[in-house]
Amino acid sequence: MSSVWDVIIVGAGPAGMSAAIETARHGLSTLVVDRQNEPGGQIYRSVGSSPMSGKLGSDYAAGLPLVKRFLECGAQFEAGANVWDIAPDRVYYSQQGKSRFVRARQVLLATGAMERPVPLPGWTLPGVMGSGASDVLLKSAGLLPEGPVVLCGNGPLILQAAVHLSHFKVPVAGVLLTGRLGNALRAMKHAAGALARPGYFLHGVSMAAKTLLKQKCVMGVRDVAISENGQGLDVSFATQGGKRKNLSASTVLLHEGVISESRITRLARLRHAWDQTQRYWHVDATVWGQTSAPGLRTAGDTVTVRGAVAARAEGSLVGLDICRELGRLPLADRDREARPFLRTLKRCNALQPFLDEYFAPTPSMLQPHPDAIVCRCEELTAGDLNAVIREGCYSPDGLKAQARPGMGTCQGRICGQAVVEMIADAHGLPLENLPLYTAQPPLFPLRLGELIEMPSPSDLL
Amino acid sequence: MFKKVSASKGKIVTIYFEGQPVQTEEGMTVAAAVLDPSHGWSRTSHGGQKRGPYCQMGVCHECLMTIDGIPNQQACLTMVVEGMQVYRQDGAPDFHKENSHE
Repeated sequence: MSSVWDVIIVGAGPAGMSAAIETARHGLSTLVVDRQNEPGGQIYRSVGSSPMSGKLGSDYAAGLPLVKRFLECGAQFEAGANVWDIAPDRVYYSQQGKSRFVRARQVLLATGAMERPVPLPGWTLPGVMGSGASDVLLKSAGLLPEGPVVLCGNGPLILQAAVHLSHFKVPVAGVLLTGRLGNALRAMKHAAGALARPGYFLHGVSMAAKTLLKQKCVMGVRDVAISENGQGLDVSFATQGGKRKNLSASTVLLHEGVISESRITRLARLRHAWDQTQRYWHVDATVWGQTSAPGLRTAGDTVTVRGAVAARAEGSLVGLDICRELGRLPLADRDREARPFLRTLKRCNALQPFLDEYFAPTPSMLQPHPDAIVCRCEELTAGDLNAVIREGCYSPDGLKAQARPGMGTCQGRICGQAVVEMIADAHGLPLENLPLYTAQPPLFPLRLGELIEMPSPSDLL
Repeated sequence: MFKKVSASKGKIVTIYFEGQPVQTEEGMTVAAAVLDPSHGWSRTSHGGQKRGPYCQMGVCHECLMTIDGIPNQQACLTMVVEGMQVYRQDGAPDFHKENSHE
C-alpha cells in the first residue's frame, strides 16, 4: 500500500530530528527514514546506546536529549532505510532487502556531510581510514586503534581525534598537519566573527593547544605516501623545508575536512553552488530550506557544512516553515517561534568564515600523486586519469565515459570531488564551471530481485 | 589492531567470519565486529588488492561482504545477528555462486 505523509524527512541527524520535532508537534504526519539503525546522524552517532556515553564530552552528550525528544515526538522513524530515488512528492527506499516508495506533501533532505576524500599513494591499504571512521567506531562500538597511530590532514575534527586518542592513552606517532601556514593570517580578518561564539572558539583553541603541546605535530606537511612494511604501515612525507621523513604506524587516520553529501540533492536536480574557500558543491537553499524545486527542502550540513549546532537550528527553522506551508502555523507565529533558532544560526554563521579560512584545504594536497588510486572501485590512478584529461577531457561526466572513474559501487562518492580538482587544474578551468558527476538512480546498488518485487507506482494510483 | 575501550551494552552474540566463530555484541555493525579477526580487510578489489572499511558510514563501499549468502552487503550498515555467516568478498561478486557459502 502506498501512504501519503504530510512530511517525509530523509536523515535522522541533528537537522532531520529537529525538523521532525517541529512538524510532529504541530500535528503533521511525519515519517523519518535513516540508513543507520538509530537516530543521531554521524555527530551524535549511537548516542542513545553508546558504550561511550558520558565519556566523550559535552558536544556529544548534547545529542542525547535531542534523540530522546525526537523518539517521543510522534514522528514515525524507519531505521536501516536506504533512500535510492527521490521526486518532489515521493521517496523510494530499501529496507531489509525490500524496496518501497512513500508519498509526501513535503520532502526534507537532511543527509548531512562526509569527509572529503583526498587520494594519496597507499590510502587504499587496510589500516588506513578516515578519522571520522575511527570516531564512528569509538562512538558506536567503543573501539579505538591500538596504535601507534599517525593522524594526517587538516580540519577541526583531526584535532578532536587527537584529543580523543590522547585521552584514552593511544600511542600517537605523529600528527601531520597539511594546512597552509598562511591560513591563520587569512582567517584573522574574520576574527571578530569568531567571537560571536566565544565558548566554541575557546573550546577549539584549547583543543588545538592540547594537540600541539601533547602530540608530535608537524605543520605544513606535503607529499604524503603510505606503504606496507611487513609489520605495519610506513607514512612518508615532506616537511615545509622539503626534508623527507618517515613514521611507522599500525593505523593511519586521514582527514581533509568535511563536505556536503550532495548525491541525493544532485539526483533531484536541485540548483547547487560552489564554496570557494572550502571547495565543495552544496545545494542552494534559503534559510527555510527552500530549494529550486517546490516541495523539496534541505537542512543542515547538506546545505552548508556548519556543524551540529547550526544543523539543529536550521532543521527547526525548516520544520516550522513546513508547518506554515501546510497551514498549521500562521506566518506571524512561525516568525515568533523562529526567533531563537535564527539567533543561533546567526552566531554560527558569524564564526564560520573564520573556521572555513583557517582550515581551508591546501590546493596542492588536492592534486593527487600519479601513483595514487583516485577511483577506489575501478582502481584508476591519478596517472591513468590525467592521461585522459590532458588528451582533451573537460568534464567529470566525460571522464567517466572515457575512463570509468565513478562507475563502481560507490558511484563516484569517493572520486567525484578529486576528479573535479584534477580537471580544473589540468585545463585552468574555474571550479564553479565544473559540476560533479551526474547522479543517477538507484543511488545505491540494489539487487535486481528487489526492484522486480517492488510494487510499481502505476499499480498504486 | 582495534581494541575495546568500553564494553557495549548489548547481549553477547556469536557470528561466523570465514567459518570461524566471533563473539560480539548486539548493536555492533558487522564491519566493527570483524575488524580484528579480519585484520582490517573486508574484500579484494577486482584487481586483487586487499581493501578495508574506509568510511564506516555507508559512503565508500569498501566493506562489501557476503552476509548470509548475499553478496555486496555494506558491512558497516549491517547489524550483527546471532549465527550470521560473514565472508570476505573476493573481487566482484560471482552471481552464479551467490549461495555457495550456505
